[in-house]
Amino acid sequence: MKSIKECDPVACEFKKLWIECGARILSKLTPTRRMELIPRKGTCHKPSRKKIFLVREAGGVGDIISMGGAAAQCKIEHPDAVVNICVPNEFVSIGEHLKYVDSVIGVGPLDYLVSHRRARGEKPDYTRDLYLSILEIPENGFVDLWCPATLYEKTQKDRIEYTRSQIFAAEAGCSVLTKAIPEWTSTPEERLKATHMIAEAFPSSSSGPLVGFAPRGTKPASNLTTEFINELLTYLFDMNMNVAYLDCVKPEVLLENNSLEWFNCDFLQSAAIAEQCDIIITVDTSILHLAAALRLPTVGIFSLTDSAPYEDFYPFLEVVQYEKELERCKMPCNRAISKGFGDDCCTGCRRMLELSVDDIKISLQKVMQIAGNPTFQCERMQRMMK
Amino acid sequence: MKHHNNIECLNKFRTRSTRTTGYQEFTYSDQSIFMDTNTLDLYEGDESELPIPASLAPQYPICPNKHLRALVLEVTHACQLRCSYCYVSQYYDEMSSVMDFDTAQEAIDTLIDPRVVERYGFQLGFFGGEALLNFSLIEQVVSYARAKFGAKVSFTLTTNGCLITKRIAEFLAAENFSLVVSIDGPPSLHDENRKDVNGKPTHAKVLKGLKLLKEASVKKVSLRATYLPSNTQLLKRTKYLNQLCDKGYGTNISVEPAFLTETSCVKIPPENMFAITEIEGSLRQEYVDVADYLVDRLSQGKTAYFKNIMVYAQRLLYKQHSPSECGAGVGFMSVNPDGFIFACHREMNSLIGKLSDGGVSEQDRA
Repeated sequence: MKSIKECDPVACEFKKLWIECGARILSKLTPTRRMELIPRKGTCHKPSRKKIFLVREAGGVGDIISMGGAAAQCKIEHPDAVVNICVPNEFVSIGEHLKYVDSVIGVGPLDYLVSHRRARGEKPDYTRDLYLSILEIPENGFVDLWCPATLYEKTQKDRIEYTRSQIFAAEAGCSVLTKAIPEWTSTPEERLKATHMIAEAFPSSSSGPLVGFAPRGTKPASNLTTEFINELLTYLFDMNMNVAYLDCVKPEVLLENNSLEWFNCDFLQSAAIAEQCDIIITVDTSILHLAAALRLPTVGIFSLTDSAPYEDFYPFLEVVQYEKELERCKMPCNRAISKGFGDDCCTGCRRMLELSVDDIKISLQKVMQIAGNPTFQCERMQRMMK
Repeated sequence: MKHHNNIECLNKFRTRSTRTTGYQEFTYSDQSIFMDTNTLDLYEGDESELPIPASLAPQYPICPNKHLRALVLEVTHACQLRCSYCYVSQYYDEMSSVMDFDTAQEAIDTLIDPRVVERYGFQLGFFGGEALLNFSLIEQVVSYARAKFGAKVSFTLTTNGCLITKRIAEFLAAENFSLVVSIDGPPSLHDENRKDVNGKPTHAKVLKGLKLLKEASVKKVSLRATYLPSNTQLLKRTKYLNQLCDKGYGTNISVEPAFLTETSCVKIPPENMFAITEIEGSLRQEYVDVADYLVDRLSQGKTAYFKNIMVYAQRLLYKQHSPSECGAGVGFMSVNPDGFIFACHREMNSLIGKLSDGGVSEQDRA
């Protein structure tokens, strides 16, 4: 085999000359200035773009926006990588607004996932199935797979600032939801239906402010107890407020006339109702993120989840952080009754048993004052505050 | 066999099983979906029609041109200029040949592997003669390639810059072309060698073309200067072209001696050959002056434009070793108007096949 010099000595001399000139330029610059002034360019043989595939359990809105944080973290660690995420079909539109996500893959719908796992006598966890199947892909540095658990392990192992990821999530959540809101609630049917329902439930034009109340989420530990729900509803009714009860299950409390029962609804329908509320009281669930995106004054009740990342990014959010130990639930609930446990709940869920209305009164007052501010143009609240 | 770019269809899967090496099979009702475990690409259809998985590609080449990342179409041999150093001057008699769309289409279909395009992207270049003399073909080919490969294909064009019109500039900008425009330096140096068929200077026309490119916002325009041993003046050329870049007429420059290629590619006229002694003597000092000028620019916070030198500065700084400067015949090929395939777009002795004979001849390429 011939060397370059043997093949073409002239070309070789020119190349040597150019290399010498390159070295001369570097020698005249300080090491710091070199890096500043001469940017790194891609190598001649560019490696393929790394693919990162984020998979989360088919959860709710909070899961999706936290994937926004994870995606941001991925882009920091691997700026050239392609980041794909996998979410339930009904939340694809949210995922598409995530700034650091290149493409969103829909799985589901959730109903299918749940029924599929139940048919096999297992806990619904379709995405974990998917994840496990993809885990068998040989490790070649080309594909990276994270699910929530491994994401957490990885961030711990690699000393990535997981908190920063959470902050990204909150930031992503607020901006993403704001962008996605028109798409969710702009269906004329949903909005018209919501307007009619509210007009029907609260016919009097002088009726009080409308409070959206979401006492339950997908995490059992976040759910409010029936006792507390009753106590809070009584308090709200005493204050001449109207309540839109936003829950996925039938209320276990006796609602008064000035309330709107809105259960067994899908997320779009809940969003259409929430959009018309004056203030929101919610646990850590999708309604919390929705309220932030709608810029509604909100009381957020947190138990296990740390509210810190959200406080800086969610406008008009007053946080009630339950800091006591969660206790075994002894109250009857729909879940226990459906399983035949009666009054003795043995499903193992732990609740905020010591939470009382007094704990949220201060936050509620603050939120009402915010909503009563003229800039909010909330006539019902202003009238009440006077 | 239908190819999916995403895995949206995964929501249909009910069971899964591991099978053929390199693929995972998912089944839903009677339908099977196969996922390439390296690329996550999905295929549905018959198992026998699956392409060789990416994990096996290194051992079993997917096609003879699996390394081909760039193809140059010599859309015409004709040119309206008669540059004194032009290496095809000896073929002026044959310069009337013009490529037709059928040949271009056959070249694209025969030589380019869509899977390579999908995975790595692809660069399709237009060369001449003066390529813009056959602009209608360029439009047709761009349209065809976009329809076939989408955004994965990018385009390059080498031109003397004299034929650029507003319409052409807007087309090049819209298709995100990377351009190489030949301009040897200030008018005195440029017009010395680059004259049209009537012997008239061309510098003013090139500047007009560059202005149109700037107005149309063509993003990548490399200014290419060529010099001969008889009149080098590297610093003067470099300064002038850097000033053009400062004004937004270019995004990079290269200043290269004529005929700097493998000797086997080009028949170099003796008078245009650089002697080793020249390179080691006066020319070296000129390059040193250019390097100092580039340092001055960098120190002033300006970009230093001089591709040949700055590339090596980057490689030295970031330790980016490059084993080969030229991918001719492997990562890069060209097709001339008559359908002959060359390893290098400068043709000469680098013939490696003919489209009408089925493409690249491995015997010739070897």
